[in-house]
Amino acid sequence: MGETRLARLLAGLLMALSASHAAQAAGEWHGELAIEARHFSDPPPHSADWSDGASLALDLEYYERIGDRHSLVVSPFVRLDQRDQQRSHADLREAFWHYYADEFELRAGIGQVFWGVTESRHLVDVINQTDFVESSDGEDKLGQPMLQLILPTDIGNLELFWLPYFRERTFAGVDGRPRPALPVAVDEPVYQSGRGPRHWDFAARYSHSFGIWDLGLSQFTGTARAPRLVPTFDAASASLKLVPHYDLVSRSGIDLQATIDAWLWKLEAVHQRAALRQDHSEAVAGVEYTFFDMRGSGADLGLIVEYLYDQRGADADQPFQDDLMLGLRLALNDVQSSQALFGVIADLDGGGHSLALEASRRLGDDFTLDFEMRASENVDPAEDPQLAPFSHTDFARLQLSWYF
Amino acid sequence: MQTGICRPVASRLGAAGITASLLAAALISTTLTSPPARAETAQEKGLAIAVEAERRDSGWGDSRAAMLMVLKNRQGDESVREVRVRSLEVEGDGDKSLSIFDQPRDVKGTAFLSFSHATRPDDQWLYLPALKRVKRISSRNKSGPFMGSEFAYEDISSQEVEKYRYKHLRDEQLDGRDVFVVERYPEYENSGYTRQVAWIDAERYIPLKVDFYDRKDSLLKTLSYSDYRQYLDRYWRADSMLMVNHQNGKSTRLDWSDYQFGTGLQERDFDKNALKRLR
Repeated sequence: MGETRLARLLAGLLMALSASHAAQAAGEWHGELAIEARHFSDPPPHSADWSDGASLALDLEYYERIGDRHSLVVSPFVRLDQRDQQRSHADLREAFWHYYADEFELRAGIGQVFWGVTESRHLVDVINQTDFVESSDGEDKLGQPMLQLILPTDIGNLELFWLPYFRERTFAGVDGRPRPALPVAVDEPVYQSGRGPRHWDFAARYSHSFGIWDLGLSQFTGTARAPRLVPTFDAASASLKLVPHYDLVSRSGIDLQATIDAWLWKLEAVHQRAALRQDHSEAVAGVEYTFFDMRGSGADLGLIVEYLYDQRGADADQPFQDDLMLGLRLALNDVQSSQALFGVIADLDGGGHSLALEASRRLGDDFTLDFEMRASENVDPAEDPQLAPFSHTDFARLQLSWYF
Repeated sequence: MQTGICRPVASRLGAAGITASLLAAALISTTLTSPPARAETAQEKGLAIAVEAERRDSGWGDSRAAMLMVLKNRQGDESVREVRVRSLEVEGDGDKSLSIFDQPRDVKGTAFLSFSHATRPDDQWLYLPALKRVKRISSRNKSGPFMGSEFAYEDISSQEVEKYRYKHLRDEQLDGRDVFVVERYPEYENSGYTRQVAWIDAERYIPLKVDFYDRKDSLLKTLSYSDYRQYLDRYWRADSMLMVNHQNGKSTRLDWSDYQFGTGLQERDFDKNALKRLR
């Protein structure tokens, strides 16, 4: 199933490529080819009993400007994974037409949109679905079909979104890691809407910068990007599986940053209302301070502290209800752009914590080397039931990328 | 409103501050320079040169240019960056600028938006194309290196008159041209320099060379401008700017090309939303 979908996507991609070639398009291509090795240190509590895996990923972008007002972007992505059929996948990250008028901008097609200011979690960022097989930090997103209207005014930008098709979250397959102890039945999603993925979602956002302030107010109505994972008995295999339930929600958000000297004060908060879920609020608030050009070395060291809150407490469907994130960001500002980010998120109630280290450096002109390490410790299933399925997922990842 | 202060007024305010604080120094140094008809102090003359340079370089509206940055280390190994730069002159405030990176390829599409201000910190945003994320960043970093080069952030930011105090040192010749030698002292915080010494072309009022002195007042870097070209019969832009670091042996050369003026850029091309539109 996964393979035929992949083959179809690739075929479509190749056709789009050759079509644009045939039209003698005046645009430009560039891209990234990455080879990745991952190592998991603990034996897993499920069937995917392997510790080392390799993977190859290709990211392309085509851009063409048509006259003064029109442009076209096509950005396909494909990954081939040695271990996990679900992680071997293709996606159109972006494929849109953009129109720039005197009074507005219009974007139609598949796009990517980011909202928010905090580092530990992205609460207000709701337009795109997370491509969870790509990385467990949730930073990779699937392309979202949309019609986006941007209205610039003197007192900020207003953006309106029509989102006619829903993308389901990706999860590691039965052979994949990291994954919950129970496999996720990605092919059997349950939608609250009778229209399933064809339910029309809508979103609006107002954003403005004035003086030290950067403010965003957003409203989303439609199918929640984060599914409820409901343990369900599978009669065929006589075992339990997690079925993703996609509920209809209404979500209001605010993101605010005050930039004062070397201090960045940040806040993100959302309030969500839903028929099938508990109405609640979540928030992330914190500060980032940077020591610039330390002792004249050119290097910057940033300190990040963020508090993560979920009103539902232990009933939350996510692990960060009363947690503190501490982060260190080092940028050497050298020719190779060497940088590292270290973060720890500690549960203030249960004592469980997770660690992450990301580092990167350019090699020569056209290559980069990335290193990533994640680990979690002392996860107490009683205090952090949502984190418990993800224990035993400590891993290290090394990636070499070639840019062309 | 701070942004409402127009440039000549702000300059006069700056001049008043200088006369108050440096009266004693001025009294001593006036006799060292060639005395003008009126007893102009070295500080007044230094400021007057800066104001005249800015007056001659105002009214350009907007511009686009391509910048090739060649970084050379002590061993002579070179590394190249390509940046497209768009600028908008803002009446009564610092300029707005947008830099779009094309090389190195791993940062292609990254864009840096800056609103410079004469009297308060600049506003700066960075666009990260991989995450589609616009980040407001602190503009406190003045002395740190820009893209790993020998240019500090304060060297590439818009040079407003109010950012320095001035002192005219002497008149002399540089490469056969009459020049004013003017010392300037950063008035903004967190500068990596105690002072800069600038050689200003006396005919065209453009910099030919600048020496930078570090916080210990040792000579740190020298910036040399060459291959000036005139645009719109008025505005001079150097095709080449070479920054040599005397302390670490590294250098960075900026080669400018494709300068265009009056390209129709507007305020809307310099906001957060514009960053996402760029490719």
